[in-house]
Amino acid sequence: MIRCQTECSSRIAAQDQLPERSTHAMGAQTPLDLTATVMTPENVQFEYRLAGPFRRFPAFFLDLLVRLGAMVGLFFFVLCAGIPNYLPLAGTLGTILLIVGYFLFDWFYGLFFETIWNGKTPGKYASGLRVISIDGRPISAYQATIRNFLRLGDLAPFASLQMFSAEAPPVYWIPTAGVSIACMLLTRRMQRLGDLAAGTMVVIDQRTWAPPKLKLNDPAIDQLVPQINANFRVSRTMIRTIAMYVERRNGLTLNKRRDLASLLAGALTESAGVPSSTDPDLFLCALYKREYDANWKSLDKTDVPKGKV
Amino acid sequence: MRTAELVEQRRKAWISLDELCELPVSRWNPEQSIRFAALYRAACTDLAMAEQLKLAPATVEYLHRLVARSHSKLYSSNTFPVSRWHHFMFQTAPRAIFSDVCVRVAFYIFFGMFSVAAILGWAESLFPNFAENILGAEQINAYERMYAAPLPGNFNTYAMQAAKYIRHNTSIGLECFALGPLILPTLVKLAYNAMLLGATFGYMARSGVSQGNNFFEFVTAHGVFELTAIALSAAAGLRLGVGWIATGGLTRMDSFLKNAEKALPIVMVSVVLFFLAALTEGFISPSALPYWVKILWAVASSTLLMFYFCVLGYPTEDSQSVSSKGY
Repeated sequence: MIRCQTECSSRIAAQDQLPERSTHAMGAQTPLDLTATVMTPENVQFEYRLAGPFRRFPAFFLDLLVRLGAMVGLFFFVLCAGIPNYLPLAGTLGTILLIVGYFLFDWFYGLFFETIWNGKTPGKYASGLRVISIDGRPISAYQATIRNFLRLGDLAPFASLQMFSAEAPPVYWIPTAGVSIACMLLTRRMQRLGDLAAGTMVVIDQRTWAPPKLKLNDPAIDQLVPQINANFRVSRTMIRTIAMYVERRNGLTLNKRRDLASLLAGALTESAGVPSSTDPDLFLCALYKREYDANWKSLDKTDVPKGKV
Repeated sequence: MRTAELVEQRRKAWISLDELCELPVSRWNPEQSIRFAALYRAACTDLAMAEQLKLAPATVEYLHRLVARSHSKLYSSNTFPVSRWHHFMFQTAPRAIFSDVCVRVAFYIFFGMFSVAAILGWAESLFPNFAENILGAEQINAYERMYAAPLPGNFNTYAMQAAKYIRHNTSIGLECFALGPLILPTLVKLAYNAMLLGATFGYMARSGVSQGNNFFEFVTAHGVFELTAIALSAAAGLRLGVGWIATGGLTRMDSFLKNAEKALPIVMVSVVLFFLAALTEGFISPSALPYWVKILWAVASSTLLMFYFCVLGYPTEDSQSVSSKGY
């Protein structure tokens, strides 16, 4: 349901404050759902899907690799620049360049990219993530500064190899990221400490996405639709559950379909006025087709002429 | 069948919006930009309608994703607006620093421990082993080797040291900030480094240490900026941590957010100071300039900081009305 706001500002509507969201699509009313709702200036409420620790780790790791790569690149640049001995880059100046470069890559990498790439670093770009403010607006440079400067606090507590054996090589700063994992588990928007301080969250950046093709062209379904009692009505929650089944059924084996469908269809066949021997899978498809008439049609781009953008 | 026709009719618009989202904004021509705005508004309306008309969940989901995608395309990140820099650096920041209790606490801890350690390290007859115990014999030997030769003679060695210190000391400062939300690590790190630096200064000031002259000639110029910057970034970290504890009637989360906002100007000033310290350390400290120039630089930089913190930072009547959200 759309809530009309008098003020035209983006603002988040926390899910638990919106009981009327029960009419929302895809069962989004459950507190377990990993979505954040955003109210746009256009007065439309939509959802972002939140990214948790397992989605964020690859991005972090990739960024680490990029930084490492940049350091190696800088190292070879300094090395090569020193060979002809024309440039004084090899000795002292080269080392200074390396040290300062390391410092810059270490502390300002995330800040730089999140500011100029609209909340993305190369790692986030590759793993399809984006940082945004918790009110849905884009991240500002101030927020990027806070959340990136606090990264070290998020990587705490640090372990050392000496904790396991006294003879271990001297490695003292192994980040365990315990703070950020605890923080993400405890907050509804799965924010790490830096996100909490900056008021940001990490969402899955939507790439192009088409709903699944439903393949409801089976003539048996079309035959079944008129057989259903015209006065038969299914509750909203039930039809949504049925929709979730029908929209996912292509990924299920025939046996699995029958198992799941008979659970759902069992109580409905009698009141719908169809024989109880009807295939439950077909019956659910017929209910779906009846409820949402023909708009299940697939939304992929294949049959729209290209180049009309 | 009306909704079906509607979806069929709108479908092309959705798909062209999706295709526009594929292109980077910089490659849109003017017509595409105008078209994007119209298509986005239409998609918003369609999403609202789709929910009202109870379209199929897959269609609604599709629209949610489409609107989310276009939304982040339309509204992109703000960089620091140049016009606000001046206001931020010369009004918001010094006032925030002047009025912040955490800054005072951090300064007392850092400079207090520094002075105590310096005195203990210097008073050889009273505390003969203090400096050795704090710094370790190896470190003292390393210092003595490093500062054995007079300054202009080995510019390269000093420049190397300078680069190393820029990284090392700035990292200490930023670590103090980053560990701030956990409070204790920041306090420990701050106190530990104050002791370490204090003991080094004290040891070098002993009359029996011949390298002392070279050492002080090296550190005088940039010391002011650098030590202040470390204390400031730790103060910003403490400000964050205090947000958890002293909530001032807000929820813990809101208080943390609010304190992070207060900490930002402090940490930005400390970054600027680290940068100034780095420049000084790279170009003035190891150079062959006469010692009095370096002393003059140190005096000038302390005066500058005093002016910045106390004159620009002094609360005036309008400072209450200056919105802290002005940046």
